[in-house]
Amino acid sequence: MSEDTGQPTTPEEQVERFGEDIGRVKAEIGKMIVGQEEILDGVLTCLLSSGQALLEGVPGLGKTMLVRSLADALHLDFSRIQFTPDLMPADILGTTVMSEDIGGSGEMRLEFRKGPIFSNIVLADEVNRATPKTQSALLEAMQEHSVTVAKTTYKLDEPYFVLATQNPLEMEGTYPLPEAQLDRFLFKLQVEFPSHDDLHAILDRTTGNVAPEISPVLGKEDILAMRRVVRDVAVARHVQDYAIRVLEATHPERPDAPDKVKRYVRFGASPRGAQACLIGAKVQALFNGRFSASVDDVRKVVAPALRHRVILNFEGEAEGVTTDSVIDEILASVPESK
Amino acid sequence: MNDLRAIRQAIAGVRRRIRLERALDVGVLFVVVSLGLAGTVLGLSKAGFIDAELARGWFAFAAALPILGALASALRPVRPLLAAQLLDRSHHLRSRLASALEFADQPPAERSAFAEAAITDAVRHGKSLDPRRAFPIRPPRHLFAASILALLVTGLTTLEVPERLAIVSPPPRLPLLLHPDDLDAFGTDLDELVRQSESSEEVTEAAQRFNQLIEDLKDRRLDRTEALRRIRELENRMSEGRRADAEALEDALRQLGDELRRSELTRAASEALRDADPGAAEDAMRELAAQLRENPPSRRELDRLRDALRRAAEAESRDLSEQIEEQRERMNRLLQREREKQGLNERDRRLLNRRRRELERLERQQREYQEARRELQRLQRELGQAAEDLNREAGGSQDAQDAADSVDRGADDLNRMAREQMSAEQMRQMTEQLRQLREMLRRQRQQQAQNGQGQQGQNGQGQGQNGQGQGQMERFVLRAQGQNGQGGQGGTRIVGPGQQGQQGQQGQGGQQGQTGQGEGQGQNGQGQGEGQGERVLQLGGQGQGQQAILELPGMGQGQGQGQGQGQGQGQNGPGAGQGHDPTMLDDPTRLAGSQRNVRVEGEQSEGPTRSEVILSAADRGFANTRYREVYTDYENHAEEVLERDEVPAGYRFYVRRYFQLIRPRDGEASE
Repeated sequence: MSEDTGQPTTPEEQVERFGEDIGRVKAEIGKMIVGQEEILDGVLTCLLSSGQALLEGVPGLGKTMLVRSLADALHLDFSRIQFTPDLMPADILGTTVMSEDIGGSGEMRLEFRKGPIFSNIVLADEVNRATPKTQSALLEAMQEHSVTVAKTTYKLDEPYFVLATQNPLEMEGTYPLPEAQLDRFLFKLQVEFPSHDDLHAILDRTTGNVAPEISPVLGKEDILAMRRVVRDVAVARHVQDYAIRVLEATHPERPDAPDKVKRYVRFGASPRGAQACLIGAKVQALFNGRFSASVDDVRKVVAPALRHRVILNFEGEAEGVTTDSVIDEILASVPESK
Repeated sequence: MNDLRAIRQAIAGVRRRIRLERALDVGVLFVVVSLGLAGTVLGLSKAGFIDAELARGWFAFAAALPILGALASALRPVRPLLAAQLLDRSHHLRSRLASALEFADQPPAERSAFAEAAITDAVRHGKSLDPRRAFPIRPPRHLFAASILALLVTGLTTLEVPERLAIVSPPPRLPLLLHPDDLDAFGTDLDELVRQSESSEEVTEAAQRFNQLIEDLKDRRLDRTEALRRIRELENRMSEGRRADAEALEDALRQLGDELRRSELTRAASEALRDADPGAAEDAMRELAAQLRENPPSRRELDRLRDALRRAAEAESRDLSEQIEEQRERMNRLLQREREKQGLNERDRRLLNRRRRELERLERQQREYQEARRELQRLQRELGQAAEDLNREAGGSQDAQDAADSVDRGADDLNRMAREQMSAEQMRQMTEQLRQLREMLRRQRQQQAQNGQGQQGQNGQGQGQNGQGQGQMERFVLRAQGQNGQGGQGGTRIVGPGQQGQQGQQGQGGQQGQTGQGEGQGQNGQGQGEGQGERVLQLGGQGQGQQAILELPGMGQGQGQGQGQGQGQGQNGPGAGQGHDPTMLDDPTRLAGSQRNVRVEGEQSEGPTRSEVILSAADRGFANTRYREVYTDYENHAEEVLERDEVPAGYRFYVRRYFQLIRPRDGEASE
């Protein structure tokens, strides 16, 4: 532990501190959110991996509540944007307006009013309801962490984290995200219906007069320090090799691809998929108090990291094949070591 | 690095276990293969198909196979990473050991702090690693099969196979195969000889021996050599039993007949004797004796009779001694010349040999003639006695009676001579049949020599000469039975007109086809060219479904296709065959002349009745002479031609064989 800053210096301390911080965040969020541990892990993984997350689930499963709780547990700015078909890019990026220097010279000048995207945590609710033009406005922000308006580039404040949600049922009047935009999300998390016990807990917490309060436990610097720790986690060659072989197995043109991939997959995952797997595995290693990622860590994050990057062909779509079943087939066929 | 020692030891332990299991698996698999191999070799060895030395080599190979397989598997490298991953998985270490092993292999300067921390973490978790937990050794997969095979092989080793003793059997005698129909032809004639009561004892005995020979051939108890030996023995026995040369006896009887022509009373006897017919002469002599007893002729006629009888009694035989002396004189001259010249030239030597053979022939002829003379002298003595009785004038009727008695005794002598002549004729017939039989055997051997190689492919290599012979005979039998044969060229088909057969009344030697068949019987004629040309003569049987085939070598050239298209059958076929010979169809005749269509209106009437049709058919073409009579006529005519004309010896055989094959059978006697 550094005596000046009080920050941990040895890996053991860093990992220990990481675990403690994550535990506190989870504890705070757990005050509001019942169950959904995997979704929460995924969201935190994306946050700590400097990536974005796409949450998919039917309405009412607590997606927005989860993100709001996360924002409450952290000392970070939070914006929520409800995407609608008439939402314009300026509505999220911001716009330049004429303003008068009232207290001063009284001159009129152009002033850029930042949109809701200028926050540390941005919730793009029902992102598939906006037009592609508006959706593409998110591209630069998500990838470059900056916004360019009228030839002026504005850096977004770090840590910057976008969470988008979409409803898989209502396809009428929606604009499905193009593959290029999907690829910019680190994980695609599928929010499942809560279990019977979880429903009891949800009802208990939400139908009474006492509303749980979430206190912020981590600040910006803490998040950034945790991101650095994540990058420091060691990865052995055979673990990295496993991640690559899994990625290669998603490509139907590969000779060692499983039969299901060859039959139902049109395009395999991009190298961003392997990056997502490996960085997610590092976060998983830290969650478990280890200094190196393991094959099991990779296996754990393969599904959220690749499910939106594997594009099914017409036959797969027609037969109702899911990308998750394809990924399960891949995980079953790719051996741990060559 | 020393901290990783425990981990490395555990990894090494896991690697050893992996190798051990591989070695066991492969070793047991090879044990299965080796046991199979050993069992096979053991079985073959016990059965005697391979010798013990070779079996020991295979056993050694089978024993070495599992060891070599196990060694090769044990020496195959096992990656440490695999062992580390097994340890990680079995101890729930989440790749700590595998990652630490990799990090430890990196240079320390390149290791990150987290890598070092990972190694330390792995060391901390790797203190109680158990290779057995990481890689429990399973029993070999093929252990059950190996156990079963081991039991089987063990049982096989205890199995005692009786030693096979090679039984040295004498080389099989190849049976001589002649067709039963041929043998029946000989048997039928012999039966008639045996049944004749007048046959002499010698003839009967010879016929029985001949019959036994035929029976042995039928039962295939004889090979060719033995059959020829029996034929030769029988011929020798028959020649020894013959008392006199029949020809010499006939000459003497003719000479006697010439002398008896002088009297009117002995004219009939003279004619009979000149015809060399002792039987008729006996009858004439007995009539003469009766006439002398009952109605004595005039004195003048008696004088002529006495003179004729006396001359007959004094008739000298043709003496060959002069010719013999002349030949001997010529030989002596040649021998004298040889002694003088100290050797003869080639021409004289041939001449001397010819003289010597001529002398031997004359001496043999003289001996035979003397034998005949002894037979005749008794007759001459009786005739002389009769002449003396007639010469006594005082005796009157008593002398005539004595003369009649003497003539009667002469008739008895003639009777005896007639019987001997009959025996001689029968002996001659049997000799001729023996000659034909020998000729048939000789022909069969020649045909085997010619066609045996071709038949070898049908009857298999293993049968050797026997198979060849059988093939030849089978082919002959098939043809004789009217079976469809192989197509060929160069054959001529002769189909005789068949007659309406009877409903299987009398079988012929077990042959089939007794349901009676109509015209031609639909046999498929077939030429057997085979490069040497054969003529196949097929004759429709007399309603018995039989047909005979006679093959004439070298006479079948250019006779066209012999393969008929009709449904011929020789056994149970119903009537005439169907179809036609395609070679008989040719391009239609192209008429150059103009044609004119003529329409003829038919006349509508009742037409002839069925009986009229049958009767009209019977008037034309149907046989009205018994086949046996026709056969006898034709055979006699053929014999005369054979005796008279210069026919090659080989063709004589085939002509006689042809008639033998178409001879009337017992069932055809009434036809």
